[in-house]
Amino acid sequence: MSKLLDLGAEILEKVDVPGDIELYMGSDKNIDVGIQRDEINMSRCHEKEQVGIRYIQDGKLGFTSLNSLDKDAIINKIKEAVKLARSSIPDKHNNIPSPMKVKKLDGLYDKDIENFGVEDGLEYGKNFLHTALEADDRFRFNEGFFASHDVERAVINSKGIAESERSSGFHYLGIGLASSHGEVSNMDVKAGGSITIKDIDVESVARELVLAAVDNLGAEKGKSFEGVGIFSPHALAQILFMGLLYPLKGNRVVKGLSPMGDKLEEQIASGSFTLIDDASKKDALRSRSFDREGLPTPKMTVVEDGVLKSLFHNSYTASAMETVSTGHASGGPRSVPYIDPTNLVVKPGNIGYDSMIEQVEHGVLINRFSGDVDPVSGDFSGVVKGGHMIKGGEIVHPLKQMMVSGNVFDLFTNISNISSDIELVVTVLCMELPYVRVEDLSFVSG
Amino acid sequence: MNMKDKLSKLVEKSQAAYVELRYHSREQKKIEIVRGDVEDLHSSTYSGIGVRVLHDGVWGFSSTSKMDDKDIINTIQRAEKAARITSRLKTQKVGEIGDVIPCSGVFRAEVNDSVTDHPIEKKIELLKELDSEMRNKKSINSAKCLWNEMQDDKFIVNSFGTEVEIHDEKVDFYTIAYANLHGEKISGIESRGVTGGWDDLFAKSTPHEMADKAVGSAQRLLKAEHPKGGPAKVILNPELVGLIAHEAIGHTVEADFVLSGSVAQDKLGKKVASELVTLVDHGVADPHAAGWTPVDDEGTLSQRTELIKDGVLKGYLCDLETARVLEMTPRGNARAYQYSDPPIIRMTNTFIETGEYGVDEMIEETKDGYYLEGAKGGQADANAEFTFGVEKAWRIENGELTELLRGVSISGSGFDVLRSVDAVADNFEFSMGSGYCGKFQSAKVDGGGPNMRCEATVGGK
Repeated sequence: MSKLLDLGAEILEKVDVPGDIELYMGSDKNIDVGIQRDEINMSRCHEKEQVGIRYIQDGKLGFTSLNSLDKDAIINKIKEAVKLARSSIPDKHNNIPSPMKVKKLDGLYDKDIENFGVEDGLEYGKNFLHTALEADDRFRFNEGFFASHDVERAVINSKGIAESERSSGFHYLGIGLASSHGEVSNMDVKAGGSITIKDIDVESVARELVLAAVDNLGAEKGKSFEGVGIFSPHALAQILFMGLLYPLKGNRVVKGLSPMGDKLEEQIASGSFTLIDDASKKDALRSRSFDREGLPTPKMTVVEDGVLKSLFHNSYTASAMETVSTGHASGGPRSVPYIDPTNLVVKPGNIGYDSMIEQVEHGVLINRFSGDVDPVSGDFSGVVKGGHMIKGGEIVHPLKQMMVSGNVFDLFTNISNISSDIELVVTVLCMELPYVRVEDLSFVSG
Repeated sequence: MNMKDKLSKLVEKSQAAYVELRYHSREQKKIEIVRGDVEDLHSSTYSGIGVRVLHDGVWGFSSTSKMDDKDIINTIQRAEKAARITSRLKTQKVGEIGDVIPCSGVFRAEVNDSVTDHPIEKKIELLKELDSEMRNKKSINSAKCLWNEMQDDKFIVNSFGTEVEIHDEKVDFYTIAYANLHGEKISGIESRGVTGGWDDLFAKSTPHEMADKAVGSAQRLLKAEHPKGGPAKVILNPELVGLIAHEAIGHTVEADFVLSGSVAQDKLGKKVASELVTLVDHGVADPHAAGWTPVDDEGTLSQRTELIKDGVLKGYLCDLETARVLEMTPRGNARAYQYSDPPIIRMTNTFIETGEYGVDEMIEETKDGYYLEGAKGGQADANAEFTFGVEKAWRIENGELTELLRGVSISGSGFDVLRSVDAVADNFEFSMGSGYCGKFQSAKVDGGGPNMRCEATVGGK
């Protein structure tokens, strides 16, 4: 048993409360090497310990959290959660779940992280920075970091759930731009990560970042038109995250904020679009054996050949929709369990990226999207970043001040082609995504 | 011994060239009611000490949530070690930070009727009542009310002899109405965030008035069409002016971005905007603006920074390190969101100063354009290119507001947009207070100004 679970069990034994209680406990040893203005800027090391306490009595919810593993302090916060719950409003769907069989995943923890020090973090940070700066002298590394996390999390509740897991993670992110003869390109962002030290690959991410930033130089204005857009994996990730995933979360449906509630088994996207969430994916950064509530997260097909197969649920939304939790309770000790996917995969198509471009007579390659997606109406509008004009099957020039707009729900039904090339996109989620061709988009030039 | 004295003693004992100890305790309460149910009812305590040291011209940072002397000393040593190792790699050293005037004193937010004096039951009751009120209105099928209050206590001591105590109280409040008609969905939002208490939060509108306004917006937008899109003359309301000042210009003049090659790098002393534009950042511009920051997290007293004066770029936002590099004066812009974050350059309250136009006069003069109201989030780039979502857009035809439009966003180059300003109104409002700025860590900021007329690209179908 882990030390966190031991402490949790001791506290639950000691407190005598009439309702159900859940402790979600986490510790994180973190090394963070910052990059700023083409230099290693600062190293940081932190050790954090946090506890989130969820208490439900007669359907009333109270939640408290603190950043201490001091037993007395936790017990005081439990008392506060009980008091909060008494002030609350009953909701019959509030529940602390009962245990389900959890199959522990192997390979989430690289034991070598225990000996990973600031010196090691600095070596990777230096390599990340130098690879980028040496790739092209027009590139400027604005900001970035290399970080390691040695994490333990444990969830224990009064219904009998007691799960704990250690995981390791190495994350790196760079923001940079290119400047040449007084011209400053759009900023670009690239990130990567791995569970193990051996899989850290800062060099590839650095080179991708430089290529993207330099590629933005010499941008020209285009003309307004309606037609084809090719979304890169990064742009697709932004549209998926801000647009389609929200309405597929059980809480959005339960609260009447999603048009997807009555669309199960209906066509919501092009027949070529299949979306899978896989929390047990090998070597994937968001893999886990159990969710924020201690329940298993089985692999789930969300959309199959364009047909909606499942929504994302935690215990609350499962109760409200009379189904079972899909194990997508997410978040940390500082929040009540919310809902998020884990590792998302869009099934690749049959056409290579080059052929996909060759087939576009007149369109725009959208590398990043900077704008606003209304998750309720699905309307989106924003600027194409790192965009390129495509004419006669060829990329002709980078674009500036080109806006794209449309509706997210229409966008997924208007997908006309999906590439066989896929890329890993690391954001708050981990996604393996292809390039997608979308018809009938509105482009407005500034 | 109190915390401030304890930290001062530990600073005295340290061997490092510069040590900064920052105790920060945050008590936060959040209530979220969605469609009649309590989705979140949360009380959190997050406290600890952030330690920053300068060793051989390099920063090291560490933090701890444990308050024993032994733990704090270990944390100082960890920060020193991090700086020592990093110094082997860094070529451009920070050097001496220079002649810093130590700051001391106790700074308290001006709070009228503290929200802590209002029982949580009453707040839940109010939010539930508003939620129910909104859902009883025509076409409204769902609603959300959000309450978020934060009480911060800070002690900052450093090797310059700074000994500062700050007590801050901030609160955000949102009402959101979701309208639905024949499968078409749209939301209307009314929000406010302030430094201060209950009376400060509801000084301009009561909670019920805010809920009514959110409902009205959603109902009207449900019937609205999308704009055609393209370059246009636009009149921005104070919230959008604040967003332009913050996102499109403010970030490009943060000294860390400037030194990284932002578009503002070579523009000091040059005309970058219409002479009608004066753009300012000031931590104590208004005691109730949400970005109220009397002293920053390096212990620098807040001072007014004129970034653009009558259209000419006059300054950058600096911390101690970049102020020395750029030979400028730090004016209180080094901020950390929580104890475990190091201070970085951030805006506080960023605004455009008032002009002489009446808002009605501005509309009457406009033959063809849009009147834009309400921000829905924005992003900007180092080259000042920005894009913002806009909640409501009215078409202006021959000096009159006509059709209401939805799904609008605007984009442009921040400096080009400011150069195109041909009218600045005589009203003024801070109205970005319910939002947060993200730059590797969050920051509570505010922004605003008067109504302003300029040219931008309107995105739509």
